[in-house]
Amino acid sequence: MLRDASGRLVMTKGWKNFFIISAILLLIAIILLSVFLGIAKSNEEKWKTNSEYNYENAYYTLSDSLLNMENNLSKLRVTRSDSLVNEMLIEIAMNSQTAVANLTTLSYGGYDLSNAIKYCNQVGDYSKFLAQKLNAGSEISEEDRKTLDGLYQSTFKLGKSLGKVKEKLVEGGRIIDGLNKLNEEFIVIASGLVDGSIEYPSLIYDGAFSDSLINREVKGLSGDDISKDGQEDKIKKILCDYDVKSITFIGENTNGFDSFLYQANMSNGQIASIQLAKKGGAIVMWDTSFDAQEPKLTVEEGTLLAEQYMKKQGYDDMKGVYACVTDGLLYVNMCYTKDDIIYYPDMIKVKVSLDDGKIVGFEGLNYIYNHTQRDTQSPSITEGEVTNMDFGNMSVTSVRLALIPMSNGKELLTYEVYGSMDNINFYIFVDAKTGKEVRVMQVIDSDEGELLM
Amino acid sequence: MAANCLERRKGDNMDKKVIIKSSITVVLLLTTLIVGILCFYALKPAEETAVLKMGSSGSQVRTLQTKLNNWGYNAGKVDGIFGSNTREAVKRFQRKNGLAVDGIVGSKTAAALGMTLSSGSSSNSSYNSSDTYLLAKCIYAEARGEPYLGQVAVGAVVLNRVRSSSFPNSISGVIYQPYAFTAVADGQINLEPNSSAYSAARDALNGWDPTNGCLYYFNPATATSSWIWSRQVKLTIGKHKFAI
Repeated sequence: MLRDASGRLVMTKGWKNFFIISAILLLIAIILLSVFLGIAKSNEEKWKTNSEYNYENAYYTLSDSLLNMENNLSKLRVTRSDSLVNEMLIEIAMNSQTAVANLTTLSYGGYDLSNAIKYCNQVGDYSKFLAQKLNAGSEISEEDRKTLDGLYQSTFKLGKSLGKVKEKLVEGGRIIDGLNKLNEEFIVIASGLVDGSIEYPSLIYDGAFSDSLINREVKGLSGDDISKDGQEDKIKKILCDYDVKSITFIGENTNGFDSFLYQANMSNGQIASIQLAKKGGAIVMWDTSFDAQEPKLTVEEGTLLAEQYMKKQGYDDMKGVYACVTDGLLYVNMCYTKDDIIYYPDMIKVKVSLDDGKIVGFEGLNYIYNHTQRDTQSPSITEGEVTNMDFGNMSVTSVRLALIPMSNGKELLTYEVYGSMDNINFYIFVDAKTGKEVRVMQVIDSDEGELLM
Repeated sequence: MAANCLERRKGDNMDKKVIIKSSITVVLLLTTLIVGILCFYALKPAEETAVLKMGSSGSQVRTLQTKLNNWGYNAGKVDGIFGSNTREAVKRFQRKNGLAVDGIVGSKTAAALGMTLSSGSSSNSSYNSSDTYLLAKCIYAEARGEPYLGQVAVGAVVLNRVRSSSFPNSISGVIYQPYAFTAVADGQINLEPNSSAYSAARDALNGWDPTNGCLYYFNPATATSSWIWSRQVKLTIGKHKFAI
């Protein structure tokens, strides 16, 4: 830029061009920026709307399933026919699952709906328990009916409080805002149901979600209490495949039953954690981190090593029943077996490295809870009768006697029928007394799992 | 006057240089800006395509490593983790087979290797392995600095919650439950888990539970909720207290 004779600034042609170009470019930049910001904003709006729709969907589905639960609980009060009662109980159980799934979605909005989740889970679980009871030939007792009546009242209240959120929606607000304002009331009611301030029958029964499971009986521990010190020899015996350098006591676990935790450092740098029961010193579990290697041993060889290990540890009648390989690691499920009956409740799992054949872990919690002296049982029907039963198009590979844990906490003597159809493997358990199918299991991840005979 | 003219011409020349320089700068700046914005938008909705690359892990990586080793491309130890050895081996394979050499196993490289890649959401990946992956991610995010037993214990707590009536009934429901895990809230859950977290997840899924049924854990040094202190602590592993 220059000054003219009088000293005023004069814009040269070049500078003029520069300013014009700059102005145009700046304008383009501003337009582009606003377009992009606009897109971002609209994306955000779209996203917000979508998540709002998700919540609304969850809300309406929840309302429907609560209403279905309530209706069926209400109908149960006047229904006496077993088949209808059974149908309604199953409806309640199904709807409670839907309710739980949608309560979970709604809780992503930031609300603690865990009490409502617990309530729905328990109502569903209780209904399932009653349906199983009916199927097994028992009757719904007067006590059960009283409980169901109470559940009806509570579900009615819960549904009503949820309805208030809907009123907010009708006024044009977002469901999140509605939940925001009213979730407190909803949560208070749901909490009241669980903590007992709102009348709701206690659900002490034998189902999976029953509160009676909190104090589970420990059947498999016997002997005198061990001291936390002086267990080095025992631990070295447990880690017999390793050269143990040092053992440190790291703490106690007081959950369920008392146990001691130890850490062992091996000379190869590996670290193992060992848990011993205070009563009698049984192995609760031990574990060590394992780096996957190329497998060199077969499943059969690995299983044999696991069975030998069990004998070495003083478990005499343990037999491998199922094995699965993941990443060069063999997990063998071993069960107590006596008189050709497999006792599934008394299960111990052992991890074997298929690279060098070392045992790398042991899990014996089920064995500790369940292993006990049982009355001898004998089947009323024969293996031949079971083999000739109708299992659709499944081809039967093997039939053997097995004691299985039932969802009501009891044990049942069954025939385990193993077979496959369309390359999918199934276990069908048939009551050894009545010949009724009591449970069907499908091997989901069958890529490397196999039944051991 | 003549002098003035001369001066102006000289000034014009100088101006031109400055103008060209300034214009180039402005244009460059704007281009950078636009390209930046475009890249941002182009990259943001990154599709979950099935590729194996540095940091990937799992059984597919294991298959990849085994194949590469079998064919003499030396991918190192078969550990299911896509590290630099694997990447170099993939590059060697790509070079030899006339593929784009980027060290990433996309659909073309996978086809040349005779592998089918499945993304996590596709239906042919089994339910079980996606659960292992999710649990491994949670363990890695929550307890990667903890002893191995502590990692198994964190996995066991997640599974105990699935079984408890007070929590959602699936692994994903429990892990993504709001405020349940800090690592989910702050995004650490998206880190790729290491092999230790994987084996801890597998152990937990196979029934290993050092806590014997605990539903909560917290780090007393960082716990912000006073409520958590009201839980009954049953055992301590590493920095975590486990409670019911």
